[in-house]
Amino acid sequence: MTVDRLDLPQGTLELLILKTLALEPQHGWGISERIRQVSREVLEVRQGSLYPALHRLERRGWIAASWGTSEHNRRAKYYALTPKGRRQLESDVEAWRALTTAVGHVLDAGQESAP
Amino acid sequence: MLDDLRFRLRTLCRRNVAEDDLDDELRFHLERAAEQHEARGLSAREARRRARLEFGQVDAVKDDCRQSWGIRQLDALQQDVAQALRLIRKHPALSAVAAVSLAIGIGLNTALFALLDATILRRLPVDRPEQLVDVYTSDVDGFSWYGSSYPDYLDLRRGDRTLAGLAGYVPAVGAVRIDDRTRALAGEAVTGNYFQLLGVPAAHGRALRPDDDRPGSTPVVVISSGLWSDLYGEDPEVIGRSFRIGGRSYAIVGVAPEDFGGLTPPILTPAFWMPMTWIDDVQPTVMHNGSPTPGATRLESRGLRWLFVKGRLRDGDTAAGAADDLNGVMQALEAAFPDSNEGLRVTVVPTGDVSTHPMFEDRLRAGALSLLVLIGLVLLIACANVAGLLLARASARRREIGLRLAVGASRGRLLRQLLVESTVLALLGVAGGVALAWGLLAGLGAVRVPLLVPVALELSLNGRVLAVSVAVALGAGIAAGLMPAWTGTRSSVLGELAGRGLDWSIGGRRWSLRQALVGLQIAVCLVLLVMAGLLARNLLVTSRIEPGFSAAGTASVTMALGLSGYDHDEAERFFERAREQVRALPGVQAVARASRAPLSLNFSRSGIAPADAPVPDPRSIAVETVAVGAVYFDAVGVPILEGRPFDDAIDTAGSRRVAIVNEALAQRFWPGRSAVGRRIRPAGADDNRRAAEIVGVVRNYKVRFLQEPPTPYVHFAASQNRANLLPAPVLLARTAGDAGALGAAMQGALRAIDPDVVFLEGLTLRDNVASQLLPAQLLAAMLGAAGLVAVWLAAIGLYGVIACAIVRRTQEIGIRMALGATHRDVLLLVVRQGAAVVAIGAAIGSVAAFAAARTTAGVLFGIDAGDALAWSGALVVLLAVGALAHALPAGRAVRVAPSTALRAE
Repeated sequence: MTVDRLDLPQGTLELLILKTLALEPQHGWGISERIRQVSREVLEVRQGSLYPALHRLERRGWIAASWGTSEHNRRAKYYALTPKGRRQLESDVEAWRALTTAVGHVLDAGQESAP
Repeated sequence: MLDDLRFRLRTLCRRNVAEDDLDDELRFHLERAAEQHEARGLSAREARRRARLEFGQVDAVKDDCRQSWGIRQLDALQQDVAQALRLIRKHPALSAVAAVSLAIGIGLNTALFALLDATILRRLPVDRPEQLVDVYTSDVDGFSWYGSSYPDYLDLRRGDRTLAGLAGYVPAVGAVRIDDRTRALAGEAVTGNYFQLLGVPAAHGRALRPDDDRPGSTPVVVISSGLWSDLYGEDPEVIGRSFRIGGRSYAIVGVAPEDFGGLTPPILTPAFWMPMTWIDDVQPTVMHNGSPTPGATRLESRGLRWLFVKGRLRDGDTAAGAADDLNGVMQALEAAFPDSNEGLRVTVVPTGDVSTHPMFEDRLRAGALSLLVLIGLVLLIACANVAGLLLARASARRREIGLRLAVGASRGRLLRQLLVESTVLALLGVAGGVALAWGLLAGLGAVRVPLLVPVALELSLNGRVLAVSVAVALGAGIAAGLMPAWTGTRSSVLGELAGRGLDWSIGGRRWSLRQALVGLQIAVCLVLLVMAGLLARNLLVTSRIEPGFSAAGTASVTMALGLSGYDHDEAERFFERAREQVRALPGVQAVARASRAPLSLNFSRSGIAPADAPVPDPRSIAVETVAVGAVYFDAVGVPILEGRPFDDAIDTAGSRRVAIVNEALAQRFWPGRSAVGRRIRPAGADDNRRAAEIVGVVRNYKVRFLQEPPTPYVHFAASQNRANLLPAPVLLARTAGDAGALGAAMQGALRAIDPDVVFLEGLTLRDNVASQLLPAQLLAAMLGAAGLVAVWLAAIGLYGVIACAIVRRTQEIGIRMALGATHRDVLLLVVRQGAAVVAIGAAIGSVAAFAAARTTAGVLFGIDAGDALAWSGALVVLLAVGALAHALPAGRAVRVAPSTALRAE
C-alpha cells in the first residue's frame, strides 16, 4: 500500500501537538516540521489549522506561550506543555490507544470471517 | 474554566498586543517556510510564493485564531456598539431627542423612586421587621388611631400573653447644649426594652437596657451615628461623656448603628435616644393635649394618650390574634378606670403597612401610587418616542437590512444590532436621567418645609435607587428597541430587493405601528394633563379656603419651654414677662398664649360628652382640645358668636371650670339651641366633678386640616390648665403690620428674657397654612411639569409621524399639485395624517384620565373628577400642540414644487 500524505482525522491534531510539546517547548513552525518528520512525511499538518489549534489549547490552559529566540536568532513564539496539558495528553493517549485497538479489532474480525 | 476566563479577559484587554503577536507569529512561520524552499533551490520570490500557497489564506487563518480566543461574540458586540454610535452621530438631532426623552423619563422616575425609597418603601433596619406591629388605642367613635397612655402601656405589657414584647416610644425635641449654644435636636424617648424588642445592637458602646428606665437610675443616652461623627468626630472615647438635654446631664452609653433612624417617620431622624423615665426633659413633638385628665405627670396620667407602642409577634401569630388578647386587658382597664378608658380598645396593625401614621396612610398611598403611575407614563411616552425614532430608522434601512438578510446575515444578529442601538440610547438616557434626578432631589431637599420642627428628609441616590434607575432604563431601551427591531427584520428578502420597500401595502403595517405609538402618547398626555389640571384646581380651591382665623395678621411663635427645664411656676413667670415684652412691641394689638396653634400637628384627642348624660353616652365624641389665654380669640381673629371670652380675673385655678366651644360642637350636642350655660365632661365620667361650663361659642375655624369640614373643637382656659401649657406653648400676637417681622421680633424679645429658650419652626399662622398647602403644591408642581414634558415629547412624536408621511408622499403631492390641487387640498392631506391619530388618542386618553381621576378622588378637595376647567384646559393644550405639530410639515408640503417632487425618487 502506498501512502502519499494523510489528512489528520478530526481531533488528532491537538493530540499530536501535545505529544510534540511533551518533548520540548517548540514554536509553531517547529511543531509542524517535527510532526511531518516523525510521521515519516506521512502526516501533513494543514498549516492553516495549526495556529487556531495552538491558540485554542493555550486558551484551555494546556499549553503556555512565551516569546523566545529561535535557533536562527529570531523572535519566535514558543509553546510549552503545562502540568494540566501533560495530564490531558496522558488521558488522550490512553483514549486514542483504546480507540485504535477497538477499531483494529473490528477491522480484523472482518478479515477473519472473510474466507 | 478559570484559565479560560483569564485568557479571554487578557486577550480582550490587550487586544492590540494579541493582534501584533498573531502577526509576528504567522510571519515567522512564513519566513521559515520560505527559507526552507529557498534552501531547496527556489528563487527568493518563488519561495515566498510557495510558502504562502501552502499556508493558505492568511486572513482566514487569523480569523480562525481569533475565534479560538473565544471573544468573537464580544467583538461583534463591540462592532454593534460602534455602529450604534456611528448612527447616533449621523442623526444627532433625532438621537438627541430620543436620549433627552429617555433622560427626562428616567430622571423623573429615579427622583420619584428616591423619594418613595426615603419614605414609604423604607423598611425598618431592625431584626425581622415583618414581625413588628403598631398598637393604637381606638375608640367607639371610630377614630382609631390614638396613642397609648403610659399607665395603659404598662398594663398592656403586663397583661399581654401573645406578643414577644411591647415597647413604647415618642418622638421628642430636646434642648441640647452643644458648646455654648442650646440647640433643638430631634430624639426619641423610649422604654427601656426598645432596643431589645427591635433587636438593634449598638454600633459602639451599648444600647439602652430596661434598668436604664427605672426612676432613680442614672440618666443615660444613646446618640446617633450622625451626631457621633458631626459632634465628636467618631471619637471612641465618647462613651461616658456628658450630654446635656434640657439642663440635665446624661452619660453617653452607646452609639446607634448608622442605618438605624429610629421609628419616627423618616423626616424626624432622631439624634439621640433617652429612657422614657426622663420624658419631662424633652418635648414630645406631636402631642398637644389640653383635656383635663387625672394624674399629675405625663407618665402617671392614664387619659393622656401620647405614647406610640410597637409589639413583636411570635412566629405564626397574627395582628388580629394579638389584638384579641390585648383587648381583654383593655376591657379590664375599662372596668377599673371608666373615667379615662370608657369604650376604648386597641387596634393592631402590622408595622409594614404603616409608613407614617394610619391617619395619613390612605392619602399618602393614593398620592404615591398616582405619582408613580403618572411619572411612569412619562417614561412610557419617552419610550414611544425612542421606538418611533428607531422604527423610522429601521424603515429607512429596510433595503440595507433586506440585502444583509439576503447575503446570509442571521436575523438574530440583526435583531441584536438594533437592540444594541436602543440600549446605547438608553444608557445615554441613564446618564442624563441620573443627572436630572440629582438636580431634582437637590432642589427638593432645598425646599424649606414649614413644619413646626426642623426636618431633614434623607434624599439620596443610593445604590438601590441607581440600580432601579438603570434597570428601568435598560428595560425601556429594550422595550423601545424590540418592536422596531422585530418588524424591521421581518421583511421579505425578495420584496425589499425588488424595491417594494416603498410599496404602501407593505409599508402600511409599519406605518400604522408608528401611528399607534403616537396615539398612545396622545392618550397618556391627556391623562397627565387632566391630572395636573385637577391637582392645580385642587390647589387653587384649597388655597382659597378661608381658615376662619387671621392667617396673615397673626404672629405665632412656638417655644419649647419644657425643654429648658422649666417647672410650672417658672413657666408662669416667664409667660408673664413675655406677654409684657411682646405687648410693648410696636403694632401689637393682642397677645395670648395657647397650648397649640391652629393647623399645627396633633395626634391626640379626648372623649367629650354633655354633662348629666347617661354613661356610656352615645353622643360622646372624640375632639381635639386646646388651652388658651384670655385674649386668644382676639389674637387669632376668631369672632365670639355668643357668650364671653375667658377672663383671667374670673376664671382662676380655683373657680368653676369653664370652656368655650365652636359652633360645630354646640350644633352637635344641642342642635338649634344655645350652648352657653350648658356643661361638658370627659366621656365616660359618671359624675360632674370634672365638668366644665360653656361660657362662649365661637365661629368654626380650621384646626387640623384646611380641607376639614366644620369639626367640633373645645377651648379650655389656660389659667385653669397650666400643666397642659408646659409642653410646647405658642405665643400668638395680632398685628396690623407685618406678622413675620413681628414673629422675629417676638423671638428676640423672648431670647432677651431667657437666652436658652428654644423655638420650633414657623413665625406666623400663615406658615401653618403654607405647610398644609405644601404637599398639594409639590404634587401639582411635579405633575404639571410631568404633563408639560409629556406634551412636548408627544408633540415631537406627532411631528415625526407627520413629517415622515409628508416626505414619503412628496411625489404624490407633487403630482396632485401638477394636476391642479390647491394649497387647501394639500393642507387637508397633511391634517388627515395626524387628525385621526390625535382624535383616537384623545378619546382613549379621556377614558383613562377619567378612570385615573376617579381613583385619586381621595386626594382632591372641592372639585370632582369631571372638573370642567381642568378638562377643557387639558384638551386645549393638547389640541394646540397637535396643531403645532401639523403646522411645520404642512408648511413644507404646500411649498413642494411639482417639478422637484417628481424627481424625488
